[in-house]
Amino acid sequence: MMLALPRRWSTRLALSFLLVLSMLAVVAPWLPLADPAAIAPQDRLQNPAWIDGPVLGTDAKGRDLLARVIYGARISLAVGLLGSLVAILIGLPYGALAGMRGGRTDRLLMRIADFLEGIPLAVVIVFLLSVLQAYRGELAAIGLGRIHVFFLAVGMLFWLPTARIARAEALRLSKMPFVEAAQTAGLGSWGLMCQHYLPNLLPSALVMLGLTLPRVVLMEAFLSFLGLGVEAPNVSWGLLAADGLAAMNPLVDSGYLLGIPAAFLALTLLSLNLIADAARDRISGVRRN
Amino acid sequence: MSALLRRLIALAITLWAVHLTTFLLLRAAKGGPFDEARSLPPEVEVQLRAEFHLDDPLLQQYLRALVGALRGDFGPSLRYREVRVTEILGDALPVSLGLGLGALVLALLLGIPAGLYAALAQRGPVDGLIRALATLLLSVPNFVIAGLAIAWFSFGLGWFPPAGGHGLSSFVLPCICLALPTAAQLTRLSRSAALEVIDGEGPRAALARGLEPNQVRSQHVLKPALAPILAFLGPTSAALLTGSLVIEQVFALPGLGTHFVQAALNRDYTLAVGITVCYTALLGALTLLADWAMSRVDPRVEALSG
Repeated sequence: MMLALPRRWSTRLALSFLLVLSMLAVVAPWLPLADPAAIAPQDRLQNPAWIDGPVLGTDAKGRDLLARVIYGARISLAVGLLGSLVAILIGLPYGALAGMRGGRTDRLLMRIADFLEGIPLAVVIVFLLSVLQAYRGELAAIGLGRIHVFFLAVGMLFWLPTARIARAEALRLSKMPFVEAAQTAGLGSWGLMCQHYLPNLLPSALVMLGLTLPRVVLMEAFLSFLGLGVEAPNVSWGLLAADGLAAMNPLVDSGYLLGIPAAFLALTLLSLNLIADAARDRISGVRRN
Repeated sequence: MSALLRRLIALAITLWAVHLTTFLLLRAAKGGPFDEARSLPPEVEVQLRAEFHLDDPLLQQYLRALVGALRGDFGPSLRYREVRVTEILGDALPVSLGLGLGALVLALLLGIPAGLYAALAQRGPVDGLIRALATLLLSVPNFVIAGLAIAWFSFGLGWFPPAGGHGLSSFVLPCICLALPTAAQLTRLSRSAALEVIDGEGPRAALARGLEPNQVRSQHVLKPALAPILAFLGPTSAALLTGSLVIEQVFALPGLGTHFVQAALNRDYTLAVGITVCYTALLGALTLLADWAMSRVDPRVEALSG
């Protein structure tokens, strides 16, 4: 039921777009694309094919924009997915624990969540990322690149809403007869959590994924734009858009450098938002049209 | 203890925690603000470190910072050594406040009427149009909106300057770019809040009592729908703060956001700590204000004044 095809055509279209895009992103290394990082000054700022030139043109350093957009999709989508998973891995057990225990534990955990909500977390994350910048050597030694740190940081930013959803759901579960029965039969907290709460929270985890994905993808773009996210030679859409914005000037018509990655970013976010809406409808149980 | 006092204490604790965390985070960062591209002679660096007390025991450094912060003094900027952080904050805060408040007002003025109108025109083509537009706007990052706005209105039409913080005209585009995604969010929120009320018993009962539809709309739909919208003002302000980091950067406005990103990149400890605390205080004040407004609209909410 949870995995049934969405009913609205817009949601279906969004899903198809994302599927095609993800597939392109996955098979990118085997596609006949130019090297996304190959600098070719003689080819700089070639117009896209609809004017005259390579399919999507080249950027200010002569790199092929089509290749960069598709390789950018790899990073942007991977960050979105992994960042959301981190958020769920933190938020789901946290909320489930609060909802399962209730009483004092619940109040304490939710007080902490309220407290964290009062902090401009994005600002703290910018802070954290810039501090970790200094430790890249040590992090690389234990096999962590900047991108991994990035997944963690973004996940930390978005776990609060998932925790709230998980808590509400766990609270509902705690009043269910089968849970009460298990409790009466003497199943401990750990057993209850593993056998009853977590498995029954999995469907809402899917909803959480739907709700978190667009925010994380947007956040990646935002941080990469500020120069604190993905960095060269990797490419992401946020980075491409930042390049496009930097290359913009009133004399050379290079708007496509901003426009093309921005269009991909916007279409992806639009699709993700449409799916998030569908997910939200499922969780509230009512369909408003 | 009154609710307001409790909230103020909570805010004070939050501010302290943020100050402590940022302080420790930055002290944990390897390398100081003085080891940039061109390295200083060792004697000079020793003298600088002494001047800024960077070699004192950590606790002593922290206490000094805390006492200073309590008096509203975050010490000298490590990057611009002649300038105190408080001076930078004093210059940057009005810029950011002007931008943020302008965007907030614009977002409220655009978002709430659009959402309420959509809710009242339920299922009509106007509703569909407003919703589609809101979802679309929500999906375009604000720096992209900013880029397009600069391309069209600054380079193309020449109506507004593309950058700089001089005069009101340089605030028009940043305000709009910052407000649009928030306006979209508010539109969706007010629409669903109003629908919630419309679907409930209240308006029907009012109609049954023979009230005029217009009266029902203003008294029994709009007013109760305002509470969840106001509840969202806290997160909205947070979103505006986050957004302003980028928008200030794009339009080269000398506000808190621009200074913060630069300070983070340059490891200007004192400035970054000062701005983070300032941001937290702003967010706390706005959330408090939003909750107070909500308690005025919705009698079920615990009043902050009493």
